Amino acid sequence: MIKIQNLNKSYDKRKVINNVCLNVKKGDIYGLIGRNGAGKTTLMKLILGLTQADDGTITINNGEELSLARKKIGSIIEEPGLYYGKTAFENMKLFSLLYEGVKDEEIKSLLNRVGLGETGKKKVKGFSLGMKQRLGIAIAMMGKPDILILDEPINGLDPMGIKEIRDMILEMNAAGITFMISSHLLDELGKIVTRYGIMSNGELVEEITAEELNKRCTKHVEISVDNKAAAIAILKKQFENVDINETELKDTFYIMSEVEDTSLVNSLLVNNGVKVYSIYRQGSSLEDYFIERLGA
Amino acid sequence: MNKLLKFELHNLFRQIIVYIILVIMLGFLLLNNYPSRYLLEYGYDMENMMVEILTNGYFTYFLAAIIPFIVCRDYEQNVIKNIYAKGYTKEKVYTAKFIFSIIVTAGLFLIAIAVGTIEAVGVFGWNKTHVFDILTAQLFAMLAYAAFYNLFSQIFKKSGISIAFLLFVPPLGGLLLDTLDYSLNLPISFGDFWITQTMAYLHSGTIDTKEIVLSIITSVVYIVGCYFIGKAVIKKQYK
Repeated sequence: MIKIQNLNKSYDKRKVINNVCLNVKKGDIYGLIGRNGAGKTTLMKLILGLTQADDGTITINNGEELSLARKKIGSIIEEPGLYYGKTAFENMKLFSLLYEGVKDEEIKSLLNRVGLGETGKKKVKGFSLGMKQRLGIAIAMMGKPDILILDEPINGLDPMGIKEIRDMILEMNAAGITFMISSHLLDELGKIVTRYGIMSNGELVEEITAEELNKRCTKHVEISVDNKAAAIAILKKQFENVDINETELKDTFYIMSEVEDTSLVNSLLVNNGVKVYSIYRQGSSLEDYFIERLGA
Repeated sequence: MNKLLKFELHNLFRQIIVYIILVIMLGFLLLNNYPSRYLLEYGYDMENMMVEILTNGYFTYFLAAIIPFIVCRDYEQNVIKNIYAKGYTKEKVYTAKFIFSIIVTAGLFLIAIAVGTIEAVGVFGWNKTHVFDILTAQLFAMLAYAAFYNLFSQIFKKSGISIAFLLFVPPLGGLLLDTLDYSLNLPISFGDFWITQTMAYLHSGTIDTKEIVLSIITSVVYIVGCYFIGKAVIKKQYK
């Protein structure tokens, strides 16, 4: 969907994007993470054509002409650009003039979709931050884009606002829209992202799927049962090389080796008459992994 | 380009402030011109009144308020990135704003002249008029102002600083160039090529064709020059 090869960008003599290669696939929710000044926003601006690369290539939609391909990308960079003296509908109506054939019905439907259908004559200046973000997303959604690029879309939002945006992103992704999102709120990002790009000092340090990251972050599986000894014996019998840490707790032990599917472990124990009180993966968070990866 | 122009058109004319400025501008022009009726005994007539509605300088002051408003608003409200992000290049957006500034100026000019003509006819009665050549030159001069104002508004991108600059720098620049001309005493006068000079000879109904042509040529040079300088500046700003 978006393929970037050997992209470079400098401001004056400072290199802000350094030989970045990146691949966003169709259907991805691609999370771009990195410290402030890592180059996330600049990379997004380069994709959108808001600034020019020194060299390297950006390919969107399998090599479609960039100015056309960019028309199919919706975006919010840094903060949504809105006319504060206008209502949500007036903002949408005005921006709709930049598109081909956006009808009032589509505008109303988009406003309903982002939960702003009932704002009526209320001016944007009276909106909460979450409402402004949602209006920004509605504007970005105009013209039925294939890709949405959102720079820090949940920054400054309260938990309710974060949930609203998160649910909206998941719903839109399920409807076929590919996302590229940057955020500092890594745990929030971890709830929706399917692939990560980790940036540091203008470089893409790593690209990793959420699945792979999950595996890497998982340190052990914690299990609580009614009969710890029996459970350990069953597991050792079933899995030859299983690494078990018994702990000092009466009913709890850890499986330290990799476990593909915890539900199999659960059913194995239950089928052998062991009551399982809890079973879950424990490990480092995305934040821990990120800090570890960037050596902070 | 059509979509961008349509966007600018809706953006501007849905602002109540624009209509307020328009009404104040016309009020100023009419009131300022009205005392001319007492000059009847000095041979003043309808033509003089038509021609001089724009020469008192107020029209350019209003342009200095409206054009930064057209150009800077999207930058100030951070909306410009929405437009760029939709695949419109900076040059296209710049050109659209330039063309729109020119169109709005031409429109305001025509409104001012129409109102001035009605006032002149009301005061002096209808005479057959021969001032269309001067009015054409005035139109070009106003378009030169629009291009000049557009250029500096695009450079500053903030309406406050743009308005302050556009109100003070053109007369100040003229003053400085005149001083320079007096000091150097060269065969060529730099002051004659300054923007304020495009209107300097266009206030009387009796100027000759050569002066009209010279004014139109200078105005065209300003329009074209400002457009290309602005384009180069925009390209450099967004490199």
